Amino acid sequence: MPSSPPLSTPVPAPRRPPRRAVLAGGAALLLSACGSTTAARRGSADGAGSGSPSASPSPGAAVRARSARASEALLARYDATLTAHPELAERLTALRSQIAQHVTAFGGTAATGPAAPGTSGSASASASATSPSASAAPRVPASGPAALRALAGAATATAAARHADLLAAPPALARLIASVAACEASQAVLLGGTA
Amino acid sequence: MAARLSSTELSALQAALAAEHAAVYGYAVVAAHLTGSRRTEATADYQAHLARRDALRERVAASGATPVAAAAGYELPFTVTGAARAAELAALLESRLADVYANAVQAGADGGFRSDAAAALSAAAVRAARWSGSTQAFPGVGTP
Repeated sequence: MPSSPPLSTPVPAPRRPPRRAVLAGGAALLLSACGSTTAARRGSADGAGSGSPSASPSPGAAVRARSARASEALLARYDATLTAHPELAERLTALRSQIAQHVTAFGGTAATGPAAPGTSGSASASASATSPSASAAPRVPASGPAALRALAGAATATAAARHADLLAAPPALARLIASVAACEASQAVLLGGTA
Repeated sequence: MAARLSSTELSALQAALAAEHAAVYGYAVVAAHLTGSRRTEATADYQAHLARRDALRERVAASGATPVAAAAGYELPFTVTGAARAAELAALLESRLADVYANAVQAGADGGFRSDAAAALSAAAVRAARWSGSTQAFPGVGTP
């Protein structure tokens, strides 16, 4: 690594901020990023939910709604996979809950979880009564590894499909969309997809 | 791509460049503490950050501004004593990069700028996941 900074040379004598602070300053930066996020997610980006009643939808409203639907569809994939392969629960539960957080952040409604095996009869009956997509549950491959690969593919595809909305969204919503897509891409890696 | 940058875009790029400088430094430390395939991985990431740093430097310079320089040294957030801590540092570096690229997404007035920033955010999140073995719900945006 020819042009790398010295590996073992001690940090030069205390000459103080801003130089030495760069790495350690990550924490501070991270905090400020969190702050603006909350603003991004609760505030101006959407306008959906609060503020002026329906009169004129905010510029991001349609994008936000589409973004929520994309996350809901991916969540349905997770749920279908968990229903078909309960043995994958340990691997998938935390990832699924992140997708549910995306749905909520976009203003959608996240289902609480996959129908428990055995209660599926009444659960899916009532679900399909309220949700048009419930009747078309995503197909899940029969083998566990194939199911994980399919889920990885779905996560990757969902992330990629967000690109147009990323460009169309107001700035703070664009930030949220980019973050969600980044999460999906990283989930695909953990699920065994390549990226 | 157009050389002109808005002032918010410019400061977002400068912040990204500063973070890439730190990442280049940090990955050299990371690689030094790893062996085998993990070291290969760290070296590949190191190279990726070098390339990214150079591209950012050019982009800032092309806009007429002076690219921020690397610090002479960086204080690590903790002492790297072995492979596990090295991986932790790599994940931390990537998570910090995710923050600055998320800021850049928001700063971008131009579609190309926004796309590039989003791609860099995603790449950082992917690398962070590889190093830590876990994902964050909102990379670059903090915990909701």
